[in-house]
Amino acid sequence: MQNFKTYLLLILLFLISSSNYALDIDPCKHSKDIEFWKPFCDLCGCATSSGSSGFGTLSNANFIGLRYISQSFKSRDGIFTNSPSSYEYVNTYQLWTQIPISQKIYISASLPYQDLKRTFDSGAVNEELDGFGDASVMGWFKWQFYKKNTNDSIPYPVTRPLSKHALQIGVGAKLPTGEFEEQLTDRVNPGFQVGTGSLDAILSLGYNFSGDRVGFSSIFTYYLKGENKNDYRYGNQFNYTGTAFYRIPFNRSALTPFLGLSGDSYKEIEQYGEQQADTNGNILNGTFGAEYATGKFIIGANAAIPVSQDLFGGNVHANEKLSFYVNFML
Amino acid sequence: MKNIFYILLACIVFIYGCKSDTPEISYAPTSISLEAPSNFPELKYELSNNPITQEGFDLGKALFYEGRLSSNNAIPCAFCHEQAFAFTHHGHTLSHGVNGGIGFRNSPPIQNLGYFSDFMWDGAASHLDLQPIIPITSELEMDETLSNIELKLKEDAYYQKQFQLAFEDGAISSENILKALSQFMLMMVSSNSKYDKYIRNEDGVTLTDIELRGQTIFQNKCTSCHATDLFTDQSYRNTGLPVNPVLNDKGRYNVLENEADLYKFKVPSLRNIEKTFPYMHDGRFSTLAAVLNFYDEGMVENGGVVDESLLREDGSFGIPLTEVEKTELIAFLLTLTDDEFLNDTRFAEF
Amino acid sequence: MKITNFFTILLLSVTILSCSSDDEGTESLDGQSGNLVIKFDNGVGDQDFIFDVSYNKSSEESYKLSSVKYLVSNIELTNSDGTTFLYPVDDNAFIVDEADANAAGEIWITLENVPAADYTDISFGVGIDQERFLKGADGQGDLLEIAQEKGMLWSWATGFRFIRLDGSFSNSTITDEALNIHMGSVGTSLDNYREVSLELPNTVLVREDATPELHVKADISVVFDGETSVVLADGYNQVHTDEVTTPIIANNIMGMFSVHHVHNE
Repeated sequence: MQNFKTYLLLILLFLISSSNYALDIDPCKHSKDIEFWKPFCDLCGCATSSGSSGFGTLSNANFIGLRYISQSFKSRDGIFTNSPSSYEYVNTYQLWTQIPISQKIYISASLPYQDLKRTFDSGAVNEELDGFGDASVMGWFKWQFYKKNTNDSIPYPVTRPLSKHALQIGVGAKLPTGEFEEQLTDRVNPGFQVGTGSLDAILSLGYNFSGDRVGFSSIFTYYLKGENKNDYRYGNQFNYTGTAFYRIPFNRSALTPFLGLSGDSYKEIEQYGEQQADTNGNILNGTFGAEYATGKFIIGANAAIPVSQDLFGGNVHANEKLSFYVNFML
Repeated sequence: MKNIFYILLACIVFIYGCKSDTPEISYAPTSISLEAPSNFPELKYELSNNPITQEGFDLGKALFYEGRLSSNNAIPCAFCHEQAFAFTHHGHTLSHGVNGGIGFRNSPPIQNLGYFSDFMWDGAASHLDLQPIIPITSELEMDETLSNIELKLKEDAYYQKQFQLAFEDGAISSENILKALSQFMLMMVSSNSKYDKYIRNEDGVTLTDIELRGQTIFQNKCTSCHATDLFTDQSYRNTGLPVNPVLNDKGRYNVLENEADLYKFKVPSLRNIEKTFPYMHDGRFSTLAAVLNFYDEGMVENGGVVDESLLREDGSFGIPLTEVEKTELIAFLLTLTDDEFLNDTRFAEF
Repeated sequence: MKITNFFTILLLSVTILSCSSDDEGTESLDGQSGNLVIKFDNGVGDQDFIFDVSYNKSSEESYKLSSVKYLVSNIELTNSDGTTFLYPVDDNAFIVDEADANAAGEIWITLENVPAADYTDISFGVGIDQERFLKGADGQGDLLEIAQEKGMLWSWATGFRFIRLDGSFSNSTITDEALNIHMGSVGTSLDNYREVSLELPNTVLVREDATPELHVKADISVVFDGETSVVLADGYNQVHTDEVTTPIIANNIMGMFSVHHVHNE
């Protein structure tokens, strides 16, 4: 097992170091998955995504898996209220993993592959992009609490019983492994990219409560976006999620449906140090879905439905986001 | 050996001598100066924008007589502007153009235009370079476009060569076409009539008694409008002409849509007046006698504001002239004919 | 646990790196030049302009237009130092014609050989200024025939139409009466040339290898309801050379333009 872990770490290192692909990757698809505890921006600094799609499984198991995320947007293709629209479709295929380093520390990482398409009301030729997106790596510290002692006697057994509450702190980075094309920023939705071309820092703070059946997790994440080689910097992003779940056990498996809220707040995009008007935004989603754990596998599906949004001065409208994943437990 | 050497040398010399250089056409302008008659006011045209050269002048003349400036290739500028008649349309009240269209104004003379800042009877053209655009474009006159003219001229070897000689960029462009025409027109200075020579004390020319009496009458009764030795103060006046209901020409009003300009027309130069008949903006008077009769007793309130300098004490309009005065005045006006100008071969087609 | 330590350090350094700002070396722009694209986008208020669609204006009137053209000249750019660059006069007159618009309704003007710099403002004139007019045909280049082809040259007088709006107007009692705004200067007697100065919402960087774009919005409704609101039925439906109506329209036109946004490459 130790070897396997080391092997995976080396693969990640390799991926990080070879981040200078020149691939024709498509627009950054910010998926708006917030139903997972740990927000994890797998996409480029797409200002339109309602934050990252979250990461991991509800049970916070260690795994390696594949996730598919589908999202679409409707944007105004022009400066007038009656300008025609363009429609962006983003499909992300992600290889993702969570690996423990020690009892309290673990690492999560993901490498997405983006497939983007944009169509126009005006009849202009469709735009299509695809390629590897921006990989992310985060290190986590889990601060598990313990139950208070009810009397002075030393509890038996010696190991302290865990509390149902836990805090997690994560620090990581999104790497510029996907290609950013400045030309594409000419459109009103500059998130249509495969990568952001920037190195971003990610800071996360999470709280979760896990009871026998009922659980709750929340995460607050702040993305400090970096500037890319075109002096282009997506606006910093703040993401919040809260999810309540209920575990239904069966003989050898469990089904955990969940319900929650997630939201994002984006600051303006800057280039050459100047803010660009109407490039900030907010979005609030209602989320729901379910996970099915059986044997070494966890299969999950979820949806995030925008409840209120104001993106790019109202020029971009995000539609619902769906995702499916299959994970193999480590 | 020696012989062969000398033969070879001769061949070389022969070959070199026989080599004829095909001369490259290049811009090498010969400048011409524009004469400034001492009795004329200041030149108004800005020569630095379009200096006059022999090559430009020759090109301008070719274009002036070029039928291809019109849509049917048969109406050049010279059609309505004939040299013998001081570049007016001989005997025509109004002129006709391509497709049999008839214009609505009498063609004015082309002379001394460098001393004017407005052109046409209503002053609609405010730069000499741009004036030709009006007759070229008018459906009733030449009915052509600048781009079409360029295309036609580009096919002609003479123009291909001459534009290169006349202009640094050598282009057959509308800019150069108009500048060449201006250079030609600017050189048309009429300042050697009998009157001019008398005024400048040249060649011992004197006016006869009747002409001198005519001059005095002219100075007393006509110079409020026909001032300077250009014989016009270049202003716009309503002279009480009854309006022709067929044409209903509102004159200067058309240019600024100003009520006060209704039925005002430019005071024309009287030079070469003997040859530029018929007279007035629509050519309604065939003789000078008819013009003077009108001034004496033909003026009416025509719906515009008749020029107040023409108001007589009894409230009517006109310039009182006796029959004798009319004869003397006409004798004086005939001294303004400049035969040197009318016969100047520089401006002639052939 | 060496690996743990290593990874902690790696993550920390990555975080620090992403926080530090890139120090761009000061580049020398001497002798460099590039292109700049100006896109004119005609609209009526916040609506995209479409031919032959009826638009409402003040005084309960409405209008439809079948041609929208205007002449723009003397384009000048100001950079972050305050220095100005006037595009060479011989090439500095353009006719913006809605009929030439691309599928997105934009009419593009490309300025070439613009000195590389960081530009913050743009100014241009609507029409032809007196100084240029007094040069006659000198320096006009192709402008005369292009203007003639586009109907922006008067045929019965000399001079350019600075704006050309043709169509019809209606009110409660009139239906589809002719509307022709052909405002221009009248020789040297009436000068209707006006200049417009616009601030750019973001700095544009013209470089050898980067062609920025300015998206200029032109609001046609301002021609009629700008500095002064005009009533078409009172004679403003035919504006040609009148010395009262033409300056009012010329002044209105000054307020028509704004730079909606810019794109740097």
